[in-house]
Amino acid sequence: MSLELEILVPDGVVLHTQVRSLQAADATGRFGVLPNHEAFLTLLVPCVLLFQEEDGRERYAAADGGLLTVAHRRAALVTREAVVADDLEQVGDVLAAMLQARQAHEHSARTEFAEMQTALLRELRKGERAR
Amino acid sequence: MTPHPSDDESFVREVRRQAELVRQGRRLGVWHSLALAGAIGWMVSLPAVLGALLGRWLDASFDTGIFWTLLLLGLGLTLGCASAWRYAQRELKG
Repeated sequence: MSLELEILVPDGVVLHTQVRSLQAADATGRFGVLPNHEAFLTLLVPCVLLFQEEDGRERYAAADGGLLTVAHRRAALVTREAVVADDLEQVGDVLAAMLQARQAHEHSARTEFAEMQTALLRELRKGERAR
Repeated sequence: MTPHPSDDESFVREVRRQAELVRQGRRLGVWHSLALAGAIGWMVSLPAVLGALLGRWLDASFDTGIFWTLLLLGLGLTLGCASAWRYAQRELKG
């Protein structure tokens, strides 16, 4: 018997797998979810999630809060940020690396946008003068 | 309840803290707790029993009724409880 677990972030699916159990935390503290849990809905706090895959392997995830929906043997977490790690010690590092990479990406995107803007303005001015 | 992290840094710090808490909880698992309980049991009972046996021998040798038995039984029990308390405190903290 298993529970379908899905973790969704704005730009994609972080995880989609079958699990035997799931552990997360909301405002009331840590809680567990097993297959056939009755339907429920909760707001997670930023936390470490634990889940046991069907082969018995335990894996971990970090999520920046989010909305957890459990219904019909399916648990879906919709959150802003999430990463998955195979090791409890790794979770923090994987998360830090992901956030850093995203920040660097955003920075380069901003620079690129500014460059494009200047290029566009330059072309427009050139056009004005030619007219 | 944990406040929502306003930035990446506090989010990472919170996740690391929770991972460490989970890891610590693991360390004090079922078998570890059982071993702790067993060790504490022996720590309390052994000094008391040894004290009582020594007291009985002393009483038999000096013909003093149950004076030494009671005294050493009490002493052993006190010592055993004290050492068990110290041990448990250290184990649970560390």
